[in-house]
Amino acid sequence: MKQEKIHKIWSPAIECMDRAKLRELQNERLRATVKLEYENVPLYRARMDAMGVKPEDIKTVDDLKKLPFTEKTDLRDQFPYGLLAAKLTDIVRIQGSSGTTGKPIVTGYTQNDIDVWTEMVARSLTAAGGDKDDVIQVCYGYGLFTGGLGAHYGASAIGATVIPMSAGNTQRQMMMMTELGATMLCCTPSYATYLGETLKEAGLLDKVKLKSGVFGAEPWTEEMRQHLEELFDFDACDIYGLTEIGGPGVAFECLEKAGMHVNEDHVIAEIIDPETGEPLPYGQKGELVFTTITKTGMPMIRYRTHDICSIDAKPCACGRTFLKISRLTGRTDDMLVIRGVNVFPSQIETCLVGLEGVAPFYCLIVDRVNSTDKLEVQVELSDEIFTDKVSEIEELRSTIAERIKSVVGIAAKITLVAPKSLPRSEGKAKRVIDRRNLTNV
Amino acid sequence: MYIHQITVFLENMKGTLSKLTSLLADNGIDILAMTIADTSGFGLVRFIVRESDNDQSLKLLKESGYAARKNHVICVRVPNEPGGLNKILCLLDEAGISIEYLYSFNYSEGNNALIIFRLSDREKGLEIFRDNGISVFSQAEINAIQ
Repeated sequence: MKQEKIHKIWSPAIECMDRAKLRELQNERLRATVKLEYENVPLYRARMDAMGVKPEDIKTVDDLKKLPFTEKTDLRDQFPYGLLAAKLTDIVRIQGSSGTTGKPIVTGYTQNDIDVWTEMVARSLTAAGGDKDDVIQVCYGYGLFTGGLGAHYGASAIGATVIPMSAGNTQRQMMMMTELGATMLCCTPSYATYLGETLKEAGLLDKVKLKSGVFGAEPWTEEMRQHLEELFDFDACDIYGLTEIGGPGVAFECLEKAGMHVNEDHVIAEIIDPETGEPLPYGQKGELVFTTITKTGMPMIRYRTHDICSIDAKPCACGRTFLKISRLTGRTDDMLVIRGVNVFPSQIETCLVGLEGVAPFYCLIVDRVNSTDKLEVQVELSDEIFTDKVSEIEELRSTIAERIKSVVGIAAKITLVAPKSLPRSEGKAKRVIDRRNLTNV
Repeated sequence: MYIHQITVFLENMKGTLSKLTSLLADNGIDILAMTIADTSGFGLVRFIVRESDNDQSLKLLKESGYAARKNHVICVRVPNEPGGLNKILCLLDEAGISIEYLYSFNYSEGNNALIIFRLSDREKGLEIFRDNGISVFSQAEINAIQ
């Protein structure tokens, strides 16, 4: 049932801070972060030295543009501990996500970083109407992926009753949701839709007490929001985050549902031209870049998210002064988000290397069937087929499926196709066909 | 005493088999025996042609975008009488040889059916056939089929 539209704010003194004061706070924290990085992370020092930039040159947020960017590949190249600004003894947690090839990327969190993360998610859940009287069902996966634990920390911080379901087992999710009277739901928007439709089919929707949901880990559209809100008769709010920057909660929607407030006391958001790297003014669409200013384990300076969106600086009716980022409208690279998992086509390539009988041509076909993302990987056989036995071809299929499951982290249907049958452009195989309609205009 | 067989991978789609047979027909290739193994995702077509057609078939197939290969199988004369096939299968079983698959020619020789065997151990299989007086059909005999 829908809640009354009351804007609750977890840390009003910060979230509604005067922007000039907020800027001062950011300046101070940015200076400290740059100093910390320069003194403790050889890669940053080398890059800043190469550009002739000293920590003293960075005085205010306006000086950010003098600093080098950080890329996901840096986390891969410095795997696992090369980018730590803290000693391993002070790192209390490792979280991770998929890298662009076989190796995952990991980040180290100090207790301070966990506290920052918790605070960010607490703000997000509060903005969606949450408080200590709520029963919050978390069906993000718990583990290296930041979704489950992040929602869990935030929900605990606001004193809610947490049901740590983790992902999967829809029948059990439905039983717990209805029997325990969950009032808030945290999961991916596609899983929420799937849950809602399954509840509807089972005739259980009238037993559901949800007033809101906080959905993230994958891009979604206004149409999906409308569909979800009609299904559950509740408020569906967006949440944004990435492991590299601190997990979910980096930005979050309030009940105005008009963009996600950036937790600006912890991160600075920039929009840049993905081609030139030049900062773009508010309102213009470009690549989202984050600098963390309170993290101490593995701070990130000008981390390129490759997500495309714009920044909205107009005041929000909720009272928060934090800037908002728009819904994501795409990527500057070929990353896909499938069931909340980041997938790079290049990861598939690493799964095919060294397999007899297959050509290095493949195509990922992503579709959404009954609100669930399905990944099919088509792999071309080489023209000299390696066997005359069906069982050996089936074995090859399951080997590929197992490798993809272990490298990418999701199950895929493997289809073997005839040599040279995949669509090609300029000699290269088309790598991705995404049939989900996830583009926000 | 092996004979050659050609195996072709087919995607499980409407019309793929007739496309394959058209290709062979248009090039005057006579299929003497054929079997199809199908799964939900794909099919494997295996067939026997005269020796003179083997290389051309393979070349045509690859040029037309098929995954194909040539390999060895054994062709056995099996008396067309109750227990004819059973006797052979029991011998293989006793010797611990598995049958990967078998199929028959659409041509028979007098009172003998011609059965193609793909065995787990080809050489041992041939040995068993020889020791038990089971006659195998040679590639030369296949080439001579009218």
